[in-house]
Amino acid sequence: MAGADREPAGSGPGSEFPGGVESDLARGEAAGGIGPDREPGWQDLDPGVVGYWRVGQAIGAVMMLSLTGLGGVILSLKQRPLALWILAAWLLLAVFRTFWLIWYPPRSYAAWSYRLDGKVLETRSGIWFRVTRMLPLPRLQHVDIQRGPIERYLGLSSLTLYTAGTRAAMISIPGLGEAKAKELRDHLVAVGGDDGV
Amino acid sequence: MAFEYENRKTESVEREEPELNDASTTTSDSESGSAIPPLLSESGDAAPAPGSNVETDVGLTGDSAEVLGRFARDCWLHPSSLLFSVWRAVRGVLVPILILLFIDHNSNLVIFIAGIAGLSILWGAIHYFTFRYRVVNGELITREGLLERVERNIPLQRIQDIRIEQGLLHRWLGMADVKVETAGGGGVEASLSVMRCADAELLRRAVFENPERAGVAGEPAADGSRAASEPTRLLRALSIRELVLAGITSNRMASVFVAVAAVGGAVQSALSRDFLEEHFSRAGRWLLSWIDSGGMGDWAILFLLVLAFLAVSLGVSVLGSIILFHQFRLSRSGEDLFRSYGLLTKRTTSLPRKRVQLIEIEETWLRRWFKLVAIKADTAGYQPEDNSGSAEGRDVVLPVLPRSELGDVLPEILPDVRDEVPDWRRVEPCAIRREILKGTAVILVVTAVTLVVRRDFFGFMPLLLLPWIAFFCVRAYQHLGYAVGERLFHTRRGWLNRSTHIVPIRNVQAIVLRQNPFDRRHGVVSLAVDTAGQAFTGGGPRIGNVDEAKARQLARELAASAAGKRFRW
Repeated sequence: MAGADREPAGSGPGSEFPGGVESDLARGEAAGGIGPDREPGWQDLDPGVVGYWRVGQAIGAVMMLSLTGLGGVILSLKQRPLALWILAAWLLLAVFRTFWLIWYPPRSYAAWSYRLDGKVLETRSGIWFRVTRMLPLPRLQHVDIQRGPIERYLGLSSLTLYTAGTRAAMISIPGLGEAKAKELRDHLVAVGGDDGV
Repeated sequence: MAFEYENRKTESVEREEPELNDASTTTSDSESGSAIPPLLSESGDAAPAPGSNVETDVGLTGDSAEVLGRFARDCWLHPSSLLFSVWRAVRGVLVPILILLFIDHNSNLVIFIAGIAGLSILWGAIHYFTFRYRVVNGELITREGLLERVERNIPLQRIQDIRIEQGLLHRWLGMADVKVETAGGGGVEASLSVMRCADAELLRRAVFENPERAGVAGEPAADGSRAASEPTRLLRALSIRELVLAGITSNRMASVFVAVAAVGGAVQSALSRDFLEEHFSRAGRWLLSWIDSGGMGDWAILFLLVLAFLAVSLGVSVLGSIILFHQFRLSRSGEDLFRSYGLLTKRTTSLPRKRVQLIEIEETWLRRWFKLVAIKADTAGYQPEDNSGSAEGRDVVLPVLPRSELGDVLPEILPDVRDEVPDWRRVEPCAIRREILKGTAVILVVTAVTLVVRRDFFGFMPLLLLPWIAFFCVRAYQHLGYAVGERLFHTRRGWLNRSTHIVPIRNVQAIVLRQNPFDRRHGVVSLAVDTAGQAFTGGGPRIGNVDEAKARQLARELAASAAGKRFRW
């Protein structure tokens, strides 16, 4: 299995991993992106991004649960007999969101990787709907580094690459460490973007 | 079976002089004042007509410095633009005012609407008095605005298109509406309405015959005079007959025919044989007796209605095709293609070859029957207008062309086509299975619906389509393919309606591979190539069901190849 002989690139593999992805094997498979092999040169995001995604999920969950909770309370006040069902449904929703919050981000992290190969940047993401994007670096128009407040607190940033395309006009790499993001950006700008308009 | 276009190694025959001179003596040209064909040699092509500026036409020597000198100082728009704004305002409010007067003779609303028209005329006058333009230092500079002055600098080299439009009034007065577009894709950057058509032509020459213009073949001569740019060569002119054919076989007609057939088929399948015979013979008798009795049977009416609908659609389509594309001419000068067309509104547009991101060769089933194709292009920064026959959002390079001539015309648009013969590869055969599955699912749903509606044997009729679906999918698979050359990337698809996409690899911006859970089960991915200028089109080339490993290798090849080529607008 490819996961077994995968080189740990960048940050460490599953062991120091919050949320406990079980084994390197599973992770390697999930991180295969499209295809089971894992060639050298693939880099992962900063593991802190899992925490960042979890925070985002938590905020979303809190908002959703409070809204639906409010709606449910109002509804059950109007329709007494349904109150128990509504409560059950809301609890189910809460359980689901919590489960999702725990389960999804690490998998998403494992599925994300990128690689700089000569003059092409390749990114892979997605668990069930897998996407590989390849960007010939000379086509790079410009690069953004974005940092929301939570990202800043966690020391992360995300890189957005702009091309002249339409469907793939923006390619985003989320959750890179600050220094790494700057380094990557400088490298991309140095290597890419030769094309004149 | 496979669609191929001939690659000719020999140069196309130059056939511009006699044809254009012929065309220019047809009545519509000479009496319209100035149909602007791409400028040829100085031998006067169009007969001078009222309003056109003859001296400038004849006196040109083709030196762009002289040409530019015309615009060196601040220029005003032509005074007749006031007339045009009046005309536009009147045209806008005429019908509402007439309707209102018809309803109520002393309506105050009429005054209100007339007031709006007056404001619009006033605005036009202000625009006329405050708009200036000039060409200086290789830039087109426009200034406009009364309260807020806006000055815009457009480097001539960045100008991609100068659209020259002439409606009937324009042609009568010898004026032209000029719209300047750049690669920025923001649409029209400068709109000069109106100029003398001779001035418009001068402006176009100043832009497109500029020796500094990227891609113009030709070195500056030793004495520093303007580089000899290629003379404009006519590539293809469309005759009335071809336009009529285009109208008959247009996409709209194709769907009309299909709709009529479907309705007819549905009607037929809903009836039993006896019923059908009885009614058609009845219809026949009724038709005969219609003349005497003055009454009509239902079926006769239906039949005649369908016929009338077909005839009207046909008429509208043909008429539309003729009005839109009358005297369509495609020419080339160096790196720029020019198209001129139109009956009521004459349009001349330019298209730098480098701006073409993607070429689509489209053959609908109807057109294939007549051995015709249509050539469309995705261009960077194209803003579709709703009246240039590109309802799908693709810029039409040639609305109709006999397939045999594809090998002559295509290399003029994409020179690389001459050297590369596509080496077609097929996708994985699981594509057939999956498409059949999808089709079957749809049929099952439809059957369920018809069963609900018609609780009897006829509810199962849609199932009869299943073998056809299978057959169709197999044939479609045989026509599905892709080819990667050194400079071009081809994809083709479709059995009834075929289309081939050609993307120069230098225009590839990004490559995206997608895999949904079903794809993963079959070990395939779908590959999409992204180029610029697809905002309004159906999307770039995308192939599904390519084997995973092959697709990744192909994508890497493409990306590496694209990285090695410069991309220029």
